[in-house]
Amino acid sequence: MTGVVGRSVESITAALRAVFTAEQVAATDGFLQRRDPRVTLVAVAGLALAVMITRTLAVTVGFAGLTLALAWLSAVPLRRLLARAAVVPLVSALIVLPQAVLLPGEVVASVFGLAITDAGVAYVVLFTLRVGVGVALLSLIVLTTPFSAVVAALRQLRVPVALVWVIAITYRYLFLFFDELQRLILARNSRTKGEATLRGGWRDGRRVAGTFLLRTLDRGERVGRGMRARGGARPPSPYRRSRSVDAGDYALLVVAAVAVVGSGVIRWGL
Amino acid sequence: MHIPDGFLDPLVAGLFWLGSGIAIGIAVRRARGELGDERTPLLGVVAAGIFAAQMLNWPIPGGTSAHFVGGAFAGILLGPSLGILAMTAVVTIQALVFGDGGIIALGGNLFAMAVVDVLVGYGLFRAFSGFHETGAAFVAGWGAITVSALAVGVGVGASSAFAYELGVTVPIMVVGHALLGLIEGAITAAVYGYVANARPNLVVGRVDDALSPEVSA
Repeated sequence: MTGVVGRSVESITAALRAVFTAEQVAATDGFLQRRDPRVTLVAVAGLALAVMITRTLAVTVGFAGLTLALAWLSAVPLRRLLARAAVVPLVSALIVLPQAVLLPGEVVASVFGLAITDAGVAYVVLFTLRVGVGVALLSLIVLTTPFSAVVAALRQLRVPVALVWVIAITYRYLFLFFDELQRLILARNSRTKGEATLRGGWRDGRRVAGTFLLRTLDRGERVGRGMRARGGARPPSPYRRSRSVDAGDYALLVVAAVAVVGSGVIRWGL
Repeated sequence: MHIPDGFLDPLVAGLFWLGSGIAIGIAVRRARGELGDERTPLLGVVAAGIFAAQMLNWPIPGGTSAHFVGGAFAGILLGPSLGILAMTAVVTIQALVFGDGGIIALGGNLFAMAVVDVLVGYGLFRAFSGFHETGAAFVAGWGAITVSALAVGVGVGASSAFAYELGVTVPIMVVGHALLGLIEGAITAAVYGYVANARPNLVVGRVDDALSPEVSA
């Protein structure tokens, strides 16, 4: 089974590589890595909110600088951050590119008879930058905070325990299932040859996905039996509790709060 | 379909958070009743399976590939409450582990992919499964993606941050995803047919409204 279905192995490998890379960065010593995960989540969400509030290019550039500074302080390689955060803003820029012509304003250039306006260019640049900073902020969480710490933080932020458990168990079994799916595809690849037709690809996909999901459900049942044999469900113990909040945590929270308020004041003149 | 930060106004993002928060809260409460605290974590195993199944590339004409979203399938397999919880876990991990979407836009992504996708998929399957089960799974997959895209189109179009208005965003999202949804419908039907043939007891409504003896109450 070569072809599109067989190439799913590459998708899985790419996803795993991204996660392992993030875990490597998260294991280094840096500003965000030293923060309480609750603080990282709340503060970075606050900064993202501040970026979403603003409509001013200079303020957005300021937030981009702050994001880069946080990345530098957290030993996040700039190239890695840009590689993660570049695709979405570029696609977003393509989506809003027609606004360079559609928005009324002073004509700054003419391409193929289409008048490009200053307001249109300003909008495209601002929109792309805002999306880019938003994606980079999310990437900072991904790159500096291990998901096990995020799970512990979610619980401490009063997210319902049932939901946190489901998220924790999903994460715990995800890599096992990636491995299982990868082995299923590789095994099928090794038993077949030649390029699959569209119809053949769908037949293979149906078999692989169906077999895989059945194995998943079987494993779920075995996990259930195992849990009962051990005396019932236990809290997701490997997820450590957050440590106490220190001065650096408070400083980050203050920066985020000032960013949200300042962004609002600049936009609405409160 | 993941909305990144920057597309939604804070107010619209807040409304999405409110909508998904209410739906997920109800799902958590109902799931406790359906599963009990002891078995709720097992749902995560099924969610992980759906997440991993999303990595499978499905061939489409033109030499490119499409991915399974799985919201409708989760609704069909698990029912609405457990389906919402499973997809909430999937979408949350996609955001906080793989960086898909945005942190402010996570509420919108949860609303589209974990709430609307699951509920519409489940509703359509229940409505049409009396006529033809695999056909109903196709309609569920197709309709769920299309209605989810409508929700995203409305949210993005209602946001002043995005310069295109509702009259543009809604038709583009709905028509585009009505076409892409044919793939999701076909994948949902294909996978549903395989699973339902092998393990009919796993499908909600087939036997005792149960996912499986282990996961169900």
